[in-house]
Amino acid sequence: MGKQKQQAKILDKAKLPDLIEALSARAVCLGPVRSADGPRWERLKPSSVLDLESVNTRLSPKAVFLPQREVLCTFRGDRLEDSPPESEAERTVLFGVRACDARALQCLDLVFGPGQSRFSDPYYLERRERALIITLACREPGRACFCTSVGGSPAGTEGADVAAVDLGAELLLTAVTDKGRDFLGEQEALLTAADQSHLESARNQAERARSLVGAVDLEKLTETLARDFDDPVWEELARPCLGCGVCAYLCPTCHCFDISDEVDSRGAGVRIRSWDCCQYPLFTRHASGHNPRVNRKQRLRQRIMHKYAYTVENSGVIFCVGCGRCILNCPAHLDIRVTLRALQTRGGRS
Amino acid sequence: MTARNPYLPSPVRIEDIVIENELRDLKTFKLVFEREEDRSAFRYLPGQFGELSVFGAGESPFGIASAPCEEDYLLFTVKKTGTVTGELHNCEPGRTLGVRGPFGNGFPWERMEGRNILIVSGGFAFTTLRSSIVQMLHPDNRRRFGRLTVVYGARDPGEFLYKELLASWESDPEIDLTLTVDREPESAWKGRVGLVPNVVKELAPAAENALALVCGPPIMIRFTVPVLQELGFADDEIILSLENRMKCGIGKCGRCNIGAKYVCIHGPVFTYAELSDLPPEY
Amino acid sequence: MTMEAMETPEQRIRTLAVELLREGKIDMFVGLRRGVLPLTGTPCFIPASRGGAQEDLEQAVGQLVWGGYSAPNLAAYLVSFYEPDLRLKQQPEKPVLGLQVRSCELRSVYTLVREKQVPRDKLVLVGVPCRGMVDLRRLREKLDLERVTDAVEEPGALKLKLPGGEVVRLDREEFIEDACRECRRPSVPEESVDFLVDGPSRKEAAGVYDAVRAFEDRPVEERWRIFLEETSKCIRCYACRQACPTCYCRDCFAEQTDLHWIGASAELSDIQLFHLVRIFHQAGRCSSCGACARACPVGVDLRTFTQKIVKDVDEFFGSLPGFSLEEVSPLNVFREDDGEEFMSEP
Repeated sequence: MGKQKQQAKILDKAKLPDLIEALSARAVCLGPVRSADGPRWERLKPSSVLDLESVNTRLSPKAVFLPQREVLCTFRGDRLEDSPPESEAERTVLFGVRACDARALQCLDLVFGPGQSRFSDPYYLERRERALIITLACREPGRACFCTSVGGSPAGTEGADVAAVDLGAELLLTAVTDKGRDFLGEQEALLTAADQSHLESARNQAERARSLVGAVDLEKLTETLARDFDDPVWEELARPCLGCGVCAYLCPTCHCFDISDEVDSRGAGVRIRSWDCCQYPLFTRHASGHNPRVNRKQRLRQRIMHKYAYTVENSGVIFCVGCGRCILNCPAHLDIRVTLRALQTRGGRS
Repeated sequence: MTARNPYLPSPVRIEDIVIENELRDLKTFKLVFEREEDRSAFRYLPGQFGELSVFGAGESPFGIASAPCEEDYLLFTVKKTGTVTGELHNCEPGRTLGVRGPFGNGFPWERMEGRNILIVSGGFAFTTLRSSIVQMLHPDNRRRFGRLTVVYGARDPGEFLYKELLASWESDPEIDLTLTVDREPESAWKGRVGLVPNVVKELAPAAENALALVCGPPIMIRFTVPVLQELGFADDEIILSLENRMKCGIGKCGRCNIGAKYVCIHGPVFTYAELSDLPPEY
Repeated sequence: MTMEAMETPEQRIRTLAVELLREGKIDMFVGLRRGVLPLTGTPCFIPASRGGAQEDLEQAVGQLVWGGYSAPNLAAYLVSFYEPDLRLKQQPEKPVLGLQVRSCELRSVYTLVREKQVPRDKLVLVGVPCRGMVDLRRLREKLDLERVTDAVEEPGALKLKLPGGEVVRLDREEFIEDACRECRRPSVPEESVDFLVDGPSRKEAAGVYDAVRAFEDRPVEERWRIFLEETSKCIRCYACRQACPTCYCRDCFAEQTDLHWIGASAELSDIQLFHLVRIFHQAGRCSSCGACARACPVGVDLRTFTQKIVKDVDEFFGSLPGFSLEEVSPLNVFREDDGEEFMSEP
């Protein structure tokens, strides 16, 4: 108990601008800034108006670690010139990451770390190393949230360095990692000690929020997916899909990318990687024209299988954190919860 | 980036280019590393692949055709099909390219020790098999393997790769090589005529203590596997090497998976048993 | 007064769908059903052979809805039913589809038929009235749409239920999509379809080009600034392209690598070229349905630019796409009296 109090601090919300100012001096400080279209991840200034009430940002913070466009190296003629120097990955503080998005970063760590391939991605890992994640517990989930059905929770601290809880006029800050502990130590001047009532408020809030998250029964999912690859239900499920890429781009665990060269008329150029999506028709097309996933059914199945079966087989983790972005932003209003339910109930009837 | 960055190609120089076929759309590039430390770090097994870069055009994966015992150079055989391969075919000796790798799992060399090896191949899929055969035939290695039987088929005599090497193997007692062409050719041809699966059936190599490496176009594989099964090869004794669209080569970009397996890290070599468990999306 | 006239549009759609399916006149009916989230509609595909009893068909058809549900343009799904499978020598028989179409969707269908992407004789078109589609983006600006538990649409109002039971009543017209507000023909003409569902539609918009003119009237620096601001939001997800019924190229210019027209990423100049070229490719083809802007996850205002093209084609060539099956797109035709001012007076 005593140890917990030691690691838990209080920040008066009125002092947030001071905190942002202190952080901005030594790091890129990002947070969910209020906008007409919902909160957006933006660079914070002391005058920034934070939106801590809305459910979540439209775009996940994965772009901080895996940018939509990233220069892998530059070249001139046939010669490699440079790859981005270490110092380009700036020290970054992300303030207000939801629990689901923080968990998602841990999924991406599995992909970009050595994992199964023995190769590490230095670009991603440098950025992760230099980032401090301050999560913000959800008080009220949205209609598309289902974090608790995939192993998360609104006040979860997986992936956090510091976990923040909004108690109204104050924020409760708890260190989760050593990095977080150091951070709180650095900000001592702005913080006061937390007491039992703070901790209890936070606990109550977490329990309440957890009870409000809509549940999705995924009990039979692994079994169904393993068995029913050829079930005709996939055809039905894929019909309304436009193959538009919004789900993958907004998904905090989706990481597929393309590598391409761009060169100017003088032969100087860059090799970049950019976001790609398994739903695009050309994603798997060979140079010969052969396309192993030539139709929409195969591509939709790939997305579901990848997130809920293949990653489980390879790393034991479902690559879905229940953030609901795919549900909220799909132009055809497909709902992955409906898809998963249909698969489980139809399974075995082929 | 202090740790070795797996996305950065090492510079290689084109020392020689051999046009392999009459259609002139298959070329073998002999590449030499510019830096000794890159050359010595590039330790590979036959069956692995590398990513060849032409800066400005892009990168493509190719099976490594040279054998590890050919220490001073790398060989890649490239078929002209798209943007990058088109650009490669425009290159002249002396040009600098980039190489990343070696990637993939390679053939199962530990399992292959002490076994008879049957190699069945068609068309231009023979590249990594050249690597395998040269490696096995090397005096330091030959006695580690049993009988070495090779069936290699092409559409017509002009389409065989590595013709000089094949000619030397035909009179090499350490290897039993059968070449076959699909149809009676117009040009003079003293070799066999017949589709690869049929030739394998006729030759009926023994399956006992043997492993079969099969590399070729999907249709050849489709008809060869049943022949091998009939001859007594178990599904996990039939070894295949797959092609798939790959980009990063290191299991990050998410493009090349077949089921839960990434061709670039769990493959490109799979046993037929493993493949049967995977969805037919390749 | 007949039974038909007493049915609501929704009921009439269901009646027609079940009849067409039962009588074997169509292989599949394509309509909309309610999405999980309030005020959303998701495409519904009902095949004729359900392998089950009559009730199965009734139940399936019972999902069909009509209203201001925010939904994609259903014509976007057609090409995939009729495009040839290049792997096959013999093409299988293509299905006969029953399709419910709002006026803008009908125009998209007509353009697809005219461009020979979809055979008219394989379509049974069910025209439906339209009072305009709810603009979810505008609603999100007004309240926390993600926490709304339920919503009911009434002729003049939207009633949204919040957690805790509170009901917010909003003026429906205030939250209608711009595309619908500017719609030049909200009612489907009876002769253009095979069946027409009766019901209330919006009135034709008075100033269809008002918004475009307001943009045109701005000084060029201002127009550039707007273009820059909007395109800066783009993440190159291609939702606009996929949602657009007349973007159906198998190999989109934006993804070509043999001729590398534009880069693949969200680099601003590539984004700008992507949109400029895509929108120009829609010249003489865009039905002003707004599906592109609606699909965009980051709210790029595409319509300012798409409607500018629509206006230009209208004014230069006196042509609007999708109203007639016989017309030829002005950009596919050379006439000796075509204007040449752009050459002599640029």
